[in-house]
Amino acid sequence: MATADAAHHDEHHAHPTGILRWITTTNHKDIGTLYLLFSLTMFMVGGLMALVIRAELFQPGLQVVDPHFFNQMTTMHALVMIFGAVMPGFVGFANWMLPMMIGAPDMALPRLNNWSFWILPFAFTMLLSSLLTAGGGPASGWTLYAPLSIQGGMSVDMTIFAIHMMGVSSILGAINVIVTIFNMRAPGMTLLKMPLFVWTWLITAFLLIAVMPVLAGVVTMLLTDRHFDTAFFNPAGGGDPVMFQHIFWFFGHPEVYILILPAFGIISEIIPTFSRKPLFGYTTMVLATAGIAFLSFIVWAHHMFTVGMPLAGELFFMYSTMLIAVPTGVKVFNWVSTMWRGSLTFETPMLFAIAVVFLFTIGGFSGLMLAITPADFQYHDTYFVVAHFHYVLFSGSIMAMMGGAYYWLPKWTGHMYDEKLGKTHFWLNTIFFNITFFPQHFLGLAGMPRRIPDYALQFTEFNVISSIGAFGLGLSQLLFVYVVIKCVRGGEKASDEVWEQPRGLEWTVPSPAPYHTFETPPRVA
Amino acid sequence: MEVAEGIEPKGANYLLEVDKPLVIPTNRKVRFLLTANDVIHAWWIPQFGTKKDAIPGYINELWTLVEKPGTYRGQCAELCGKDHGFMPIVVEAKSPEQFEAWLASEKQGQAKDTADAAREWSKGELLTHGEKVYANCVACHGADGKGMPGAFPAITGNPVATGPVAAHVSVVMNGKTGTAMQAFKNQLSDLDIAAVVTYQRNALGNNTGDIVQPTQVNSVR
Repeated sequence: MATADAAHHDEHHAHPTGILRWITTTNHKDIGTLYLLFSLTMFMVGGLMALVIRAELFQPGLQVVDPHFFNQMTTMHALVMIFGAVMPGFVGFANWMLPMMIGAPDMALPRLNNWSFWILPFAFTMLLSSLLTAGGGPASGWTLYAPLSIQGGMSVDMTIFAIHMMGVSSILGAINVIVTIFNMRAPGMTLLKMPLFVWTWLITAFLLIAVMPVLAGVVTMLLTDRHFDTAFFNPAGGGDPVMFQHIFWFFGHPEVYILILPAFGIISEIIPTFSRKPLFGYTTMVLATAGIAFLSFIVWAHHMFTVGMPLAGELFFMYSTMLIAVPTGVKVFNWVSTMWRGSLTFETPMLFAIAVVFLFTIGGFSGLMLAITPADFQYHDTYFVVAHFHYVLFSGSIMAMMGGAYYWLPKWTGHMYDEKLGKTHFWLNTIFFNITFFPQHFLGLAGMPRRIPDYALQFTEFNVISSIGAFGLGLSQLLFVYVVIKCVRGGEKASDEVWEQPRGLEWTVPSPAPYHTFETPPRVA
Repeated sequence: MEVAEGIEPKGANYLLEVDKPLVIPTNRKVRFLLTANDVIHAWWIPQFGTKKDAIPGYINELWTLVEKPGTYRGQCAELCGKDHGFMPIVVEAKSPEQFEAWLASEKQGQAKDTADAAREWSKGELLTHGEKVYANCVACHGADGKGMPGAFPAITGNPVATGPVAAHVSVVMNGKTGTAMQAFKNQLSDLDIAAVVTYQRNALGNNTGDIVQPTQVNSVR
């Protein structure tokens, strides 16, 4: 009776249509869609910047852009990908899936949710338009190291304000996630019954609230150094350029887990479904996630082994960093154990999930190499580092999101995506990814520094290979966009379950998921 | 720049050549002290297997022990601005005997430089040398001293280059704040500054007849 009343009541709402629907929406599914589309757009914009970089590095010499613009591209590529593609992408997944996974009707704070999305387009308009200012965009790398960033033009100020806005957006989103998870779970859904994606997002949200203010603080200090005669980072005024790096990386290292933990969550949803087994070691997965989150706060200075720290500091950060391999190893073994003796099938989401487990582990191992202080003296600031973080960020975060998109697209749209095209996208993407980034390990080990627009002749061959791979990788994403559009517009009707007996409340609602789900909470056994 | 633009054929050590390599002895521990006065750089020779940042306000140390004599090449490893990719580092490791010989000849050369800076120079000598040093000025002020109207002032007929000598020397040494004119006092020797100022005042269409001696430059350093 209650259900019927609620449904009846709902029909009398006058929903705005057209553009106003999207501007005024407080519906978690609409906002999730906005976030995902925004993320996809930024992924393409950041990808184009990467192609400018790879085009310039195709051959030795300066053929395409000048060195200053090259530095703007490396800076913007990172900012756009991290803050524009990966973070909003995960928030999009959270918006769509969290309420459905915990049996809630919506996010706990729907208007806040609307606001936290709509800050983003303005933040990125400001960030991207800084490229048009006199002197061009920010060119000091996404890390904005002082004193170099203090010398930049007004584009640095625009970047700082854009970062403030993104930070506000992230914190509001994180508050919403925490409040939703703690207050809106269906009866019977205890914390340790939550799907792992919910758990990873809960922990990620705490990380966001802990470190985004630190980033806001450090860029504000940069702003006052630039304009209000403070000298936080200026040694001539008694300041300390290394302090910038300490504060930045106190944000920066938890940030990289913000970028990967929700990916772990997505993988932990996909693998059991296509192994037809429950997730192996659920509780250890939760504890490992919490362990990674805790450790992320005590490893930051491994990004700065070459600044000249005391030996005790170098040892501490080396060992604490290596400790992260333990909970991460737990996760990898649990995923493999979930597949062990499972009844495996290899649909596109599963292909992505397996590739993520394999390729992320490569990135994890190169991370372990970088953690070894004396070895890092050699690897630091080389292409080895570039290869490392693309193996964890692209073949970790981004490919997990692609897998997640294929996994839940039928639930979102009500249509099956084109499996053949999905698999083609997977193979093109994964092969070109490795062609692009695997040779960069060799470049780094051979002595090629990061962030250079031109290079000595011994680096030519691997750069040629890498650039060819990058263009292939970029083009193969057009196929992804095509598959998504095709799936939205039509296709084979998806069943409610979509896959074979998947676990999770989202598969108990119809496909496509109705505009409002779980207005009456389900009872979880 | 022609090489960088891909017009000229690139040599084997493209981007890894310097005009003055750092010379160290082999089989002896060498300690480097690193700092910077603009932004953070990093000193790295891959074959030495270590790198360290050069940070304004800090003196960082780094050591190495090179066993094989030879030329070792590296680059700046910390993003330091638009020319980050063009900061080569070259270390020549010489056997102890060769190192001593090199040291002796360097000392001799320096003694000559000191003597040169102390002695009186004729106008002809200063003009010949000054023309070479003027290469530092050409990018903005032009080979003919006409500058670029609207952007960079001409040297020819410029009130600074035809007015009081002391003011002219000061602009060359300390630059001019708020303009693109940089300070050259750390980049050019007393002799170079004296020669280029003399050149600018007596060539490029100027004819003040003033002669500036290295000792005069030294006295205002």
